[in-house]
Amino acid sequence: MKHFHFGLCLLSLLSTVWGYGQQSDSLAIKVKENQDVIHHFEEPIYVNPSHYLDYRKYSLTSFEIAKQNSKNETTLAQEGKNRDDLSFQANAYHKLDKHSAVWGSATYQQGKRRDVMWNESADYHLIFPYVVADSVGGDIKYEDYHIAGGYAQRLGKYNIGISGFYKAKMEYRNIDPRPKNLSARLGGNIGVSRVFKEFFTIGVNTSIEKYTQKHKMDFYSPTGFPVIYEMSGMGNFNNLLKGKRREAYYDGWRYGTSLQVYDTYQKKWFATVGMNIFSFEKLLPDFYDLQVSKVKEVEHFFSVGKLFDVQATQLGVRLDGNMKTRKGTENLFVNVSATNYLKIGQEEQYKYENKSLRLSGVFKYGTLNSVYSILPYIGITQEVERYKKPYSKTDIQYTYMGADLQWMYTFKDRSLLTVASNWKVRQTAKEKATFNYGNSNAINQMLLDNYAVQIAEYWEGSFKVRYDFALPKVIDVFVGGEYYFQNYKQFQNNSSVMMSLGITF
Amino acid sequence: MIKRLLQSLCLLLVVLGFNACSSDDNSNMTGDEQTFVTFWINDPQDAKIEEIKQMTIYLTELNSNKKTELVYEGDKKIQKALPTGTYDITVEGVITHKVNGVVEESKVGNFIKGVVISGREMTKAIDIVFKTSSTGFVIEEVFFAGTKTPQGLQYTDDQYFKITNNSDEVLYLDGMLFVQSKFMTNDKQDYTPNIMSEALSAGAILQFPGKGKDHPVEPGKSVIFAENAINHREFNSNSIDLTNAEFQNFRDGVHDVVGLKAAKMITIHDELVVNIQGSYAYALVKMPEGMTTEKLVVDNIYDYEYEMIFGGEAYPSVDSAIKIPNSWIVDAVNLGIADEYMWNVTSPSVDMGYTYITQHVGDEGRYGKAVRRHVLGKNAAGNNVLKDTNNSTVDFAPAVRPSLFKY
Repeated sequence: MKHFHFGLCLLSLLSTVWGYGQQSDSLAIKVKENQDVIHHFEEPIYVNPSHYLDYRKYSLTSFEIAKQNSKNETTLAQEGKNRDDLSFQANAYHKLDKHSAVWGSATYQQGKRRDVMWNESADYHLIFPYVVADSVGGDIKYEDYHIAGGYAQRLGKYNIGISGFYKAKMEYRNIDPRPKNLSARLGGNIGVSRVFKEFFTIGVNTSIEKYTQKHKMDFYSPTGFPVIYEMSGMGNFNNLLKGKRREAYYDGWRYGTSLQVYDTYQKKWFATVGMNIFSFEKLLPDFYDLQVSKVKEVEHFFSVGKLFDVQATQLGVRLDGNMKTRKGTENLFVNVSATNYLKIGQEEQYKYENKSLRLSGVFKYGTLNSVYSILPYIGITQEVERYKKPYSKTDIQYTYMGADLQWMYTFKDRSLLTVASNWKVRQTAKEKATFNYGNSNAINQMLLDNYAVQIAEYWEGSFKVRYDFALPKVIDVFVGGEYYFQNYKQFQNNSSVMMSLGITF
Repeated sequence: MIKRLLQSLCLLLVVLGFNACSSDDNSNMTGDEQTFVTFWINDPQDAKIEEIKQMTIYLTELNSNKKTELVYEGDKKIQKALPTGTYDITVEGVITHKVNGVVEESKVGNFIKGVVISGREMTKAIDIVFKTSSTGFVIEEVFFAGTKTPQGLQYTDDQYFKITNNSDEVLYLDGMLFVQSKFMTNDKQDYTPNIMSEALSAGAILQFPGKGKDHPVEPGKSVIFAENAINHREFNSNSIDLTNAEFQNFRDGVHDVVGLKAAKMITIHDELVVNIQGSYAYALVKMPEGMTTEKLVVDNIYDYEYEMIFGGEAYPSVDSAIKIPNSWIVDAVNLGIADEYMWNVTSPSVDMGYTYITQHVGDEGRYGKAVRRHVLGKNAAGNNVLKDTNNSTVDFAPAVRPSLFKY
């Protein structure tokens, strides 16, 4: 039934934009413009919805079905290994007139992640380290829903924009232990920008997001079930809450703001700076919504870029920086009875820091039928994770470099072939770990395995082909395929294959 | 007008954005603070400490499971700065005190559950009790969790208790009592009157059969008291053969086994149903001369009151048990469910700790596991000397393979 509802949403979106799709622009021009690497290069500007009037030159709507099979052997235990996905996606961007634009997207994805260990919660990247875990784990099936949209309007020298999104996720397992996770993210973004002296634009935006996740664990075995842990980072857990808690609830908010300055018409230069704050608390409904822990994450980011035109060649350079600090505070309890816990204190135990700097460039050269582009990049990242008592710390610095290559060729029948290949090498510059091993050998092993993956050096490459063509008098279609490979020196390799089929109009 | 409106909106976005980014951590509970704690050592009941020869306080913070050990240095107090938390406190020591004017040396101890330590400074009085010394029978092993059949089903008829003569002389079980506590270690109530310092509140009471010397136990030897003294392997290949057990629980309609070799225990009060999670205390009891079981269940009735809390409401309740004076207890062990254990249901003078198999109710890892007393070494006769400090937490190894499981 829910699939049916989602299908209706997709159809609604498509029918809404269908009329806008009846453009006279050639398919090749529209798709080629949409895939232009310069847009990717300028992506930081579009954190503000008021800038979407110039997001793309042409209106375009697409609908895509994709199937992806990943064979991942080297991953963090909490993320799982092999993965199968099937996704349906619709995207639309339309310029209503010279002064307004509308856009939207809807995605449905279902699949399975195999061998997820030490994590029975959803959205690990959001709620770490405060997951619910057990030593059994297993495969997790999931369904993701995502719908988003926005509107931008020009009012004299001002542009205003507003956008919103809703993401919902369901994860579950059909054998013991049987977690069922329902997470939802509802967010909005409002922005304003002004053109100054016909030369540059300054924009500011503020975003807000509500996050919730409901976790419930069930066991059908009549003989019992394993220990459930309320994990608190780097292998630690609250010993008093260890046991049979069946439910957890995550409740959080994200706020953000950013400022953008850029060349109004050609976007030959741009600069953005901003910050986001994400905070959530973990509650145990079994004990009248007892707060177990809370997290506050502060992220600062900036991006500056400059483009140059040298005859038929476009060159560019861009610098991105990001600094993220996550602090986790845990509550201390006394158990008045087996089902009644009182908070007696709190302690900021967990800290995670991620600092990264990335220098990238762009080279684009076009001929009558072909467009060649290269986006080389180099970066350095430092990740520090620390638990105060008992003291544990990991400090990892790594450098990476790579290049994204793309070639687009337009045939005489106006069909378009896009060939892309991405390459990246990651090397560990520094790593240091201090672990305080607990009584659980399984948890100790998980810590060591995860750390080995975190410091592992690798290279990765992908090869992607997409062919857009018109079925005469019917519709414009594209087919695509991608192969991705990640090679580790000391571990097994990861790879994935994706096939996609879609329509554009 | 529109221009002014948009200018205002711009300003509002900036203000909102930066306001969102301001710190919201205005809590005054910093958590990093430590509490300077002074533990005062109180005199035992009806005695005055002459000198504390040695004393150690073992603290376990329950949230982090961090253990701290504090050694007595003088002035009847121990001081230490400790992190905020909930602590289980175990005290072990040796003191001197006067008995009829003569200075004697005695072992003392206590176990205090769930003490909250917080704030800048606090004082905690530590009550200590004299530890009874036992060199006789001990409960060496308790196998209460049962096994799992090859089909994955629960099988609990193979429970047993292993009782060992930890002395160097022949002892007799005839007439001794085997007691299951009335109260549960995972259900703490304010039972009034509180008689725990004097007696154990007994639920099921069984008596070993015999007229005096029918059931001798050689030094270092053990007997098995089984729930069902049959070959359980005939029903469950993962279980054990208990046909050689010396004693068996007996309940009409439950244990009527033909060809039973084991002697039937005599039910004195209530029926013994061994909890498969382990939430009661068990004790071996030797009644004094002149006391009979008939007299026991009449003269030692203990009527108590408590408030049963259910759904946040308090319901006044009454019940009764049989008082077993602590001085009659030869050995006792408190069993608990690790994450639900609330208190000891015996006086710390007979057992100041607890042991466990199950981590939580329904723990799937409990099957085929027992609690077993540590072996200190061998005596001159070559027999095992079992650890018996009246502290089951340190005397027993929790969740170990039962000794009768040879295959």
